[in-house]
This record gives sequence, structure tokens and C-alpha cells, in this order.
Amino acid sequence: MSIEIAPAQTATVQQEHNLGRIVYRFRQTPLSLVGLAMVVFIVLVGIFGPFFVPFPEDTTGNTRMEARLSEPDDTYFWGTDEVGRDVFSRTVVATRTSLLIAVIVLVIAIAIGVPLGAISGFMGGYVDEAIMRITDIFLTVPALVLAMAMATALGSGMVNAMIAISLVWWPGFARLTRGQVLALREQDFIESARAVGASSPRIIFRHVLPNVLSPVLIKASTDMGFAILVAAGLGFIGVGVQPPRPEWGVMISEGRNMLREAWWISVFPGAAMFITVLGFNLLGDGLRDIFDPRMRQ
Amino acid sequence: MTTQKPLVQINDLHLYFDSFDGQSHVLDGVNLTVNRGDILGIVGETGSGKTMTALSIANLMPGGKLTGEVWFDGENVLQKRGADLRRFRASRLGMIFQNPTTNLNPVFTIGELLIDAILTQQYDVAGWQLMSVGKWLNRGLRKQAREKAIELLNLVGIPDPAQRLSQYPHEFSGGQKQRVLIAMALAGDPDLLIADEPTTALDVAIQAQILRLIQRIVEEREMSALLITHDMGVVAKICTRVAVMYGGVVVEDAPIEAIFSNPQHPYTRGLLRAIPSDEMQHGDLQGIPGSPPSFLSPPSGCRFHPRCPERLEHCHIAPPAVVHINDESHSVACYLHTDEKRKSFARD
Amino acid sequence: MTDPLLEVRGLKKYFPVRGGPLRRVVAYNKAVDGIDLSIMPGEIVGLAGESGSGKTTVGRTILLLTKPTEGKVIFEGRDLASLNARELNRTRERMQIVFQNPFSALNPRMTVRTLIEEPLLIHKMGNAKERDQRVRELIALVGLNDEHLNRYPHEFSGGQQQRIGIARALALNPKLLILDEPTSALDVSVQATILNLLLDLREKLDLSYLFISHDLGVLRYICDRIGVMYLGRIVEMASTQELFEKPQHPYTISLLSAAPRPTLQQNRHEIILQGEISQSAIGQGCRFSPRCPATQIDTCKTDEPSLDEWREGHRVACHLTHQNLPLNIVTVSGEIYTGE
Repeated sequence: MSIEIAPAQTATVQQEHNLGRIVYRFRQTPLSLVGLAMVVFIVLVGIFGPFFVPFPEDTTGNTRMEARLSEPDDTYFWGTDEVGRDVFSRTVVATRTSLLIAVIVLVIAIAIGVPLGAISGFMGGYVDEAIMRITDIFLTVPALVLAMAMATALGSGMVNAMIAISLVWWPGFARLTRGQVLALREQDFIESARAVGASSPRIIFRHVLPNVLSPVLIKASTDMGFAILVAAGLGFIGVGVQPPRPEWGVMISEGRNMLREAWWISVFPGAAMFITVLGFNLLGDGLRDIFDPRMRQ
Repeated sequence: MTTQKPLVQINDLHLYFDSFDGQSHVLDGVNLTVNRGDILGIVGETGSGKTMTALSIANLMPGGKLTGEVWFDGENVLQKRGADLRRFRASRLGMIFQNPTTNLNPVFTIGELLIDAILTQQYDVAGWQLMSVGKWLNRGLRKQAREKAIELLNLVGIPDPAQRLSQYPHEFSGGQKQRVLIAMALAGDPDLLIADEPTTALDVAIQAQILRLIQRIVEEREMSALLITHDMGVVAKICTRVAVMYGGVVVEDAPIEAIFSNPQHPYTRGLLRAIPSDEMQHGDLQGIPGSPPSFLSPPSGCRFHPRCPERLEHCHIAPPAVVHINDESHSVACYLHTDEKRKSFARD
Repeated sequence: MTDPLLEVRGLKKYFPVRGGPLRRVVAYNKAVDGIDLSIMPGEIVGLAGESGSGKTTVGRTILLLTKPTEGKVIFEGRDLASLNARELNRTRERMQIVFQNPFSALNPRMTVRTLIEEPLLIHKMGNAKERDQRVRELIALVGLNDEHLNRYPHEFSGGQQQRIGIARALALNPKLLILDEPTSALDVSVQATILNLLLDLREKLDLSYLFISHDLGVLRYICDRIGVMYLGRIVEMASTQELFEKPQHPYTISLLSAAPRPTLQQNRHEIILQGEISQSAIGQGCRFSPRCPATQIDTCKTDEPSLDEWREGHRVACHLTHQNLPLNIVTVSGEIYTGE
């Protein structure tokens, strides 16, 4: 065997091996498989759904007063709302909005929280104290209140809502990361890096951060569901996504006065949200079982 | 040789675990005897199956498929279930483990821990009766248990036991915690003390104290003990017999003198050569080349053959049978001996 | 006479103990409390001691992984405290450390190749090709081969992981390795191969070691000279043979007598120390006196003994030895050990 190819071969074998192992562990927790299936389905709907809905114009301001409050039937699968818009089309299109909001919120929260948490945990002392106190302050502000305040100051809208949610979301990641880093700091490999002369940025980015990645991703998965819920809550009280753009919270809010006569206006978007949040939570729990060594058998 | 029936007799114990990589065969036909009054050392390296073997005596397996027999004073432990099993563990076995700190619940005082252990193990008081509601139900018993707790702490060498009962585990040093754990293990007046690496986390001086303590207690109370360790030096200090395990098999089982003066299995010999001793010069120390066997695809035949310096041509074909030498007290599973026997049979 | 490679003078490291609601410093944990040590080129010096003796802190402080509270570390004739950051980094190339737990000392997300190459990258040594060459050289040096380079640490056994740790430590071509319990997490059969590897490497690469261990058998096998530490101080220092044949300090004597050895002849002379190591013993007289099995004199309770030469190359910190008094230690079997 020639020395040039040998390492490469070993590497591929190893990667397949790891993938197989992940699939195997997934199989051992059936609920996480269900969660995965739900998430995959919802993401597909979010990406491709808007191209296939029967009434795409209903999501951009079209009304159809002659068909208002139709019960679910062959034309309007999930019925129509007060102004005759197809609930099915609007629910499907809203999926993309919700996913987008959640992803952006989490990206911002991770981008702020993880580096701050890492610095806090790694430096310790006064830096740590300062960052953690700031984190505490942000943790005490409820997303709803902040969003309402921003709506008053800057006007309601999707962008402001996302900023508001991100601002209250990053402390969770900062704390998680700090805890992980504190544990990692005790590991000899950090000391070893210092002994070979590695600089602090190098230690943080090469040695610390890659090792906090999996807990952060696990938290992100579970948080997707919650972020969607919060975004919907903001939509519900009118400081989130603005009509006519469809959003689950907004839709539920629009139907809430007619639950008796036209239950479908609120129930279908509510069900969509339920499935989405449940899916992300199950997946997150499954990922935790698979990647978190403390939970592992 | 004693004519008495042995206290523990393990017959053909196999243990399997299922995992992604396939089935691992962790114990491969373990046979072991603990005679009354023995301090039997089970010696082996990481993954030799020594802890699993000991846990099987308490029927305390963490999952996996277990076959074989474990006879304890005439009863098959592996067939016990539920309350029967619990009572058996409480009254016949005492166990201590490597890390004394993690084995003492930090929110209870030493007194509470010890008295509860005595109540459950000796008086068979049910768990709920230990809770706040049930506490007054057994006041009288509690008083007796307290007396007994003080007596036990005295026995394990903790000064001022009455005062120390109200202290929390963190107020005890590492060595003292291990003493408390020994006292707890003795709460049910067990017949067998199972000690799993009891001194590995302790310093040399404390280690010597604890080993002497175990030895004294076993003698005074006419118990037997099973000492699981990786350290031949610890074995030499207090054991009366030694079973050497490798890859889930007992490869050699002999009285303590024979193990050190006349080791028969190549692995035992390798192990002894790998420990630095007084007269060794640079280069005298010899490791055992190679790595411990994989349980997923264990070596065929004798599990030690890939690392064995005295390997014969047919060692990889089938596992060697156990051969008794020197009036039955010394047994070894190695072809070096079966072959000699076969030769002598052929001559007869 | 050649100059020592490393010289440590009066090294102290105190860790503040904080308490109370304001987290004020209420006391100091005197992990290292005044140590003198020297290592000659090519020499293996051992540091023995229980946990809490401060032996690990000595190693880390020498490498300036933690700053000493007091004292000097002189490496190749230069006081490390006088160096600026860049010079210090150059010095680090010459001094490396191998850790006790090889698994925790290797970043689990890095391949073996990256792990060994990292020191070279940090110190900007060679181009990609030269570094690759060097990595292959190093992996061969510790008895592994090229095929192992693209794997991750968890795929190796403990002994192999420790070999990788050694290869990483050797990457910068150091003169001195601090070995912090390098074999105590390993099985005995593997420990032996690592010890022999270390002896081999010393010959090949002309290295010096500071070998920190609680295992006297291991120290006896590998070291040229051994210092025995108790509560942050060296209580006895001598050549290996001298220390094992003529131990003078009561602590050394009892440690040697109680250490488990694979022979049945060990029990007769065993001396069992009572009590446990505790910082509270520092301050009044000899810090070993609360546990000392020897017949003590008044000075033991009042003065801290200094580490003085007892005879050539053998230093002891014990009043009894200094005054040529018998130790009179009673062993388990009732024999009396006088120290002769």
C-alpha cells in the first residue's frame, strides 16, 4: 500500500462510519425521527409551497368578498376568511415568513451571543462580570414589551420585530456558550495550546468555539420553535408582520372573533404552527440525545 | 484445601451488549470461586471485564444480555427479582466504589445516610418509611440504628463518631469518606464485601490505611471480600487469592503466593514484568505490545494470542480449556499447559 | 562543570482563597511554598508527592502557564521574568509539557496531523511541505505511522493518545519536557511501553525531563534524581539510588514503605501515616510534624527545617537528620527504624 493514498482512504471510511453512527442513534430515538420528518416537511413547504398554492394573489392584498367565510370545500381546502382570502394559500405562504423570521433571529442571536459568551467565559474576571450583567439586563426584558416599545418608536413591522426578538434572544446563547467554555477551560488541551504558544484569539476560535458548536446547534433547533411562537405572538398583537402579508399569528388574530362561526380561519394556521413548533422541539431533543455526551448512555 | 462449600461460585458467565457497531461480547465464559474467608483480588486492565464480573454477583448489570450462573451460598442470584433481589443485596452484599465523593449524597448528613442504610439493610425498613411521614413510625428502631451507626464509625476508625454523625460529607476528607462508605457497606452485616478500585483515587498513605482497614474488617467479621483492582501491588498487600482477567476471560486463578512466585499464564507474567520494581534498570521494564482486544470482533481462540510472546501455532483456533495445576488450587487457561497435559496423557 | 538547563530558585505560587459575600481574599492556598530545583542537560529529575503536594503546580509555573508569586525560573541561563513576550514565546519552543490525561489534552475536533502541526504553524516554522515532512518524522518517532495522521484522537487507545501528545510536545524541538503524570492514566502494560519510549527519546534527542508522578516505582525506574514534595516544599532530594537506599526524611521513609509493590515482601516494614495532608499544617514548625511518625523534638513544633545537605548530593529538610538524632519510627510489625 502506498503511503500517499492510505490516509485519504482511512478518512473517508471514518466519515461514513460517523454518519452511520448518527443514523443509528437517530433510529434509537423514534420521536426524534418523527421530529426530523416534520421539520423536513415544513421546510419543503416553506421553500416550495408558495409556488403551488391555488390562490397566490390572496397573499398580496387581493380580496374576494363574494366568497367570504366559505367553509372548507374543494375550491378552498381550508375555507376563506372575512374578506374571502383562501386560508390554505395564506397558511402555506406564511410558513416561509415564519421560518425566515426564526432563522434570521437565531442567526443574529448566535452571532451576538456565542462570541460574547466565549469571551466572557474565557477571559473571566471583570470582563466576565460586565458581560454577564449586561446579559442579565437583556434577559429581564420581555420580547413583547421591547417589540411594542420599538413599534411605538420606530413603527411596527417585520424587521423591527426581528430586531426586538434577536435582542432578547442572544443572552440565552451567551450563557450557554459561557458555561461550555468554562467547562472547556479546565480541559488540558487549552493549557496545551497555551504551552505551545497559541494566542488567545487562536485558542478561542480554533480550540474553544468548535467544541461548543454542537450544544449551540442543539439549542438553535429547539429555539426555532420558540422563536416562531414569539414572532407569531407579536403578529397576534399587531406589532409584528403587517397585513396583508400572511403570518400565522396575524391570521389567528384575524379569526379570533369568529371562532364560533368560522373556526377554520384561526384553527388551520394554529395547527400549522403547532406542527412546526413540535417538530423543531422533537428534533432538538433528539439531537441532544445524539450529540450531548452527558445524556449519552 | 477446605471441604466447605464456596461462598460464591460463578459458572460460565457471558455478557453481551448490542451497539451500532454490532454485538460486543464483554464476558466470555467467566468461571470464578470465592471461598469463605478469602480476599479475592480480580486483577485486569481497562476493559478486562473485572467490574462487570463483580456487578453480576449483585445482579446489577447495566443492561446487556447475561447468561450463566452465579451461586451465592446455594442460591442462584441471576434468577432473583424484585424484593427478593433487593433483600439479598441488602443483607448479603456490601459494596464500595472508586470515587468516595460521588457516592455520598451531599444533601444528607453522614448520620442520616448511615442510619437509613442500617434501617433498610438490617431491619428491612421500606423506603417510604424513611421519608418524613414514616420517620416517627420507627423511632425505636432509629435509636437502635443510631447506636449501630456509632459502632460502625468506630469500627472504621473515625474519631468522635457521635459528633460526626451530624456533619455533611463535604466536611470529611477523601480517606474519611471512603471509611464512611465502608461503614455503610457493612450496615447490613454482609457476607461479602465487593470493593471496586477502592483506593485508586487515594494517595499512597491513605491507600495503605484503607487497605489495612478492609483486611482487618474481613478478618474480624469473618467475611469474604472481592477486591477489584488494576494494581498488582495492591493485590500483594492484602489478597489471599488472585484471579487475573484479560478480555473478559479469567486467564489465571491462584493463591497469592503462586501468582507472584510461579505465574503460569503469559499475560500474568507480562503484567508482572510491566511493573517497575526495585531492581530494574533502564531497559528491564517490558510493556505488552499491541492493544487490548476489541469486544466487537474479539480475537479467535485465546483472546490474548495476538499479543502473546509465547504463542503456539494453534492458539488462534479455539479458546484453551482451564487446566488445574498444583493440587487444584492453581488454574490457568493456556495451551502451554493443556499441551503438556495432552502429552502426558498420550504417554499414559 | 556544565551549567544547568533549568534552575528554579525560591519558587512560590499562592492561590487566593476567596470567601464571604464580597469574595474577598480570606487566605492563600500555598500550593508551592519555596522550591529550589535544577535540571542538568540530559537529566531526568523526578518530583514525587501526594495530591495536594503542589507537584503539578511546580510544572505549570516553570512553564509560566501560571505566574509565580515569587521566585525565579532560569532556563538556559536566562531569567524568564526578564524576557518580553516575544522572547518568552521563543523560549517556550524549548520547554514543553505532556499531560496526565492524554484524551483531555488533545482537542477532540482536530486530526492528529493538525494537532502535531499546530505548534509549527504558531511559530511559523517552514512551509507546508517542510511541515508535512516534520509531522511525518514526529509521528514515526513516537512509534505510530502516517496512516494515523488523518484520524481523530478518540479513535486511539490511551497509550496511542499519549504518544500523539508526546509528538506534539516534541514538534518544536524542545530541550526540556515537563511530564505531568504522563502514565498514570494508562494501563500498566502500556505504561511500560511509554516509559521506554521516553527513555529512548531522551537518548535520541538529547532531552531533559522533569517527571512528575505519585508513583515511586515509576520514578525509580526512569529518574536520575528525585525530589519528594510535601505541602509545597521539597522535603528530600537525592539521586534515585541514594533516595531508595538511604531515605532520611520520615515522610520519604513512610511513602517508600507503604507504596504498593508487586511483591509479597512489602508488608513487614510498612509504616502507615495517620491523618491527611492539610494546608492548616503550614506555619507552625515543620509542616510534616502533625503526621510525622518519628520521635519528634521541640524544634519540630517551632521551626521550619530547611533543605540542607546531609551528605554530598543528598538534601533533607528534617531537624532530626540535621542534628543526627535517631528517627525511631515504629513499623506495622513493631520493628524500629532509626534511619541508619
